Amino acid sequence: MKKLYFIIAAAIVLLSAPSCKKDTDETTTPNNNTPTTPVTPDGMVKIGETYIIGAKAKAYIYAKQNLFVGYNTIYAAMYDSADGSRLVDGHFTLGAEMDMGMMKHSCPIEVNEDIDATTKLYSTSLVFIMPGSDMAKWKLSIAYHNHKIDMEGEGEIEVPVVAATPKRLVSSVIALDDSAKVFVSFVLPTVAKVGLNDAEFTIHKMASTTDFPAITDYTIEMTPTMPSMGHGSPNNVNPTHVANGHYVGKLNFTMDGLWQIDLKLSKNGVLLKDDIKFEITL
Amino acid sequence: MLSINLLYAQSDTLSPKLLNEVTIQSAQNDRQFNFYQSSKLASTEEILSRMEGVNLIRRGPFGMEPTLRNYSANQINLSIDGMRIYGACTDKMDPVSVYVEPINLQGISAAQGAQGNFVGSSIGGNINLKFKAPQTLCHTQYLTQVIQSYQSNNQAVSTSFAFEKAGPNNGLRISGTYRKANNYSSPDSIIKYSAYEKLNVSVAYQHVLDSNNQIRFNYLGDWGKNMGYPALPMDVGKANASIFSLTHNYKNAKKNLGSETKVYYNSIYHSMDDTQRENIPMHMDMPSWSETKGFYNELSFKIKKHNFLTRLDGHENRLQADMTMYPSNGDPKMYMQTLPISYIKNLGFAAQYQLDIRANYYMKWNARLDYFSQKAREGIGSDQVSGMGYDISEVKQNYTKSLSWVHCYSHSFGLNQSLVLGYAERLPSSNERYGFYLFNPMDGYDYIGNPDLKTEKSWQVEWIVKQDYKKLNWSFHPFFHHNKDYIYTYVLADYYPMTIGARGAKSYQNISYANTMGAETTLGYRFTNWIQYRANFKYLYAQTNAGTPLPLVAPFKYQGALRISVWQTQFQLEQNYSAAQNRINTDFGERKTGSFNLVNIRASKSFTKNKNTFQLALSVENLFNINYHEHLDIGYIPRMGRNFGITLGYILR
Repeated sequence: MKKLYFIIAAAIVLLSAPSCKKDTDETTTPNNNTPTTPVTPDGMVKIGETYIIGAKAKAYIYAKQNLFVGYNTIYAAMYDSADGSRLVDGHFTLGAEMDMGMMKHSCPIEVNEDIDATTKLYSTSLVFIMPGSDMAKWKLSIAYHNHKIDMEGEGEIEVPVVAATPKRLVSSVIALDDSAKVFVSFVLPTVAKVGLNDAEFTIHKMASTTDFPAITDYTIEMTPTMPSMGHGSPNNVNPTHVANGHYVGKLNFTMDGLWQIDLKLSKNGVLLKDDIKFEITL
Repeated sequence: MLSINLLYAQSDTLSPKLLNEVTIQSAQNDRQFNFYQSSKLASTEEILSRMEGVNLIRRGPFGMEPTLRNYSANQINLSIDGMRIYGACTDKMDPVSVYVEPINLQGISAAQGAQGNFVGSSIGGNINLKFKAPQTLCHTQYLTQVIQSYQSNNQAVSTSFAFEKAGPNNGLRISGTYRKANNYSSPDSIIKYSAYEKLNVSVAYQHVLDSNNQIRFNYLGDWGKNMGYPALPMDVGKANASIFSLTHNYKNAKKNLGSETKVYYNSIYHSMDDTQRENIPMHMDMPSWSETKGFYNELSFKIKKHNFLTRLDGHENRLQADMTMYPSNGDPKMYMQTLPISYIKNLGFAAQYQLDIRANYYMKWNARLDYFSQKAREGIGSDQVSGMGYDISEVKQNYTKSLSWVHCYSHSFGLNQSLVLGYAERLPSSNERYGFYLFNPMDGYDYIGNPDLKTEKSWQVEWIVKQDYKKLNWSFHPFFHHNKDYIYTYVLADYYPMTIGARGAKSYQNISYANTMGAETTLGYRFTNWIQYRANFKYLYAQTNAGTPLPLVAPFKYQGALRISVWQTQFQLEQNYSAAQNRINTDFGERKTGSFNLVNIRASKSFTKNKNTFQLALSVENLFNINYHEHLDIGYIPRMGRNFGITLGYILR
């Protein structure tokens, strides 16, 4: 009912105000200016949508692929819930919560309130640290401060999160680092090619159920090998910390096939962990 | 003089030649063998092995790689009837001589060093396998020959045939060979993976346009199957070659003008196979492709004492070698290009000028300039190499230059001497520039190309003295080559090998220089008309600027033959002696090779009836069944033990 009302209201507004056409071209068809579901941006999948009550906005949520355990970037297109026009002026905050009944926890989130001027998409990256299930679901909360009308509100959406194959996240309790629970996620490459690839990992730890700060002082030794043949490759560059728990280096794959990437983590010259493994198939 | 085929020299005595030429015995020749051709079914590589300055690198019983002195694949120019052909296999299992049978050939010529540069830039020289052209005669004539042979050691059966029709306006020649052999045995054991099978067919058609112009079409197809390479971790599953050419000849004797123009195309498909091997850690396929198109025009003219010869040629080659591996545990298959899809384009011009100063004295200048462009196609192959820090999709351009000056003087008593000064350059090969983890079983390293290699340069001096006087003939041919920017290997520290069990990775670099020196000597003596002796001696000494001996340098060798003709039967006693090679390159995985002395005996007889000829030849090779290998045998796999052979020939007119 709410949706129908929205469509009718939007249609009336649009019909009576043709000058809005410019701003709303993405939400209307050229013939009748009726707001419809926005087209999912190229190369993305739609994760869901929600009204942001109080901000008179509606959020359409996308990602480059279905959400998985590991480092994900979530994109949001914000629309005026009344006239369907694209909202580009406002602050966007995304939160995530896993409700397991007995306990709740969040996950590492890289807050980013600002919009990308070209794509007009808000984005936030986060690390899902476990898969969702029927009993325990990930919930995204979206807060938006709509500067157009200077009003704030919040929406919520349940999202499915699946375990990635091969896995893109390793969690580990590191005894030598105050028994911190540490999450290492394999960010790049998502699709690897033969030759040099950018390699990127993030490392966070769990300080509390709601606080997952970035670890910025580890050193990583990275070794790619082909387990079927037992050989590695030359010219890899160990990832080093760049910002916000992101470690960037280079991975060289000399052929197609299954590669295993071994990481050794150290801190101040003390080896903390030497059995972190990721796999990627070219 | 002087084709070096001294015992059976053709009437080719026009001007002294520096080229070593072996004429393949035609069907009409009653003899079943000569010094070079141990039987009428001797393979191309067997003939090559007896030529002056030629040594063979052996990886299997078939497909040996000819080298001129110690110059191998990339440093010499191995051409078929003047055409450029690139073997497809990155492991050098298919030097192009493997695709040609002697029955297809008129002859084999070898020109050493810078003298060989007229047909293509190289530092080591040129070997050309010249097709036998159909004849045109004033009357129509047919000739059919069938030759069969059997070798006891590896139960090898060979059959070759040639059919020739010669007419006033055209000539047709169809020839072919089929060979099949089982594993051979050394005196101690059966050598596994040494069997082979191949079929070769060649068709040549020549048409006379007018008294000055002829046009000739050639096709050659060669199909090898399950060819064993005991020294390598894989065998050849298939090796198929198709070679096409169209040649136009113009000859005007009055004007002293001649021209030969050819357009050609050839393609090779080669696939390595490990399905016959035991205990392989992982099955893999390694197919490769080579495709070359080209042309050349040679123009010769003579104005009084001035002889001119020019050659304009061009070719384009495409090479690709893939490897797909299938893990036995069901992991995803692995794929790479051991040679990224790469192209060589070349345009060259050569000019030769000979000044006949006197009847017995001439000078000759030879110059060649080549333009090369080399590049790899964008894609997985060039992406692989980009991981090594090179962008190989960029075009690499090189100009290679070569010059030689020959001064040739004939004295009395049949004595003749020549001095050759030369400078030559050669392009780094596709393997050397773009190879990607090519395994070398000798040193156990994987080789990665270096696209930044510079051309290799060579300063050369050679002296040739020959005498053909009464019953004696001999020649002595010492040489010294100073090779700058020599392409040599080095270990890539911290690089993993790719091949399972390999020791590491290596690449190539230009080292300051390497020197090669040595001599070839021949000796012939005709004791009587029925006893003749013929021998050749080869010696090489080659090392880097650091004094490290170069790898794959043959030791001193002597090959001698004594021929006796009695009771209308020819007997030939052969001795092959090879000294020990103690100057070795351990980085290359070389071991010292002991000396050996090999004795072969042959006999042949022909019977003629109603113009048809029947020939019979018997042979015993390695008479004393000694256990030996040559220094250039990869993996030091023992050679064949005692081997009895019988050859039957039928010539029908």
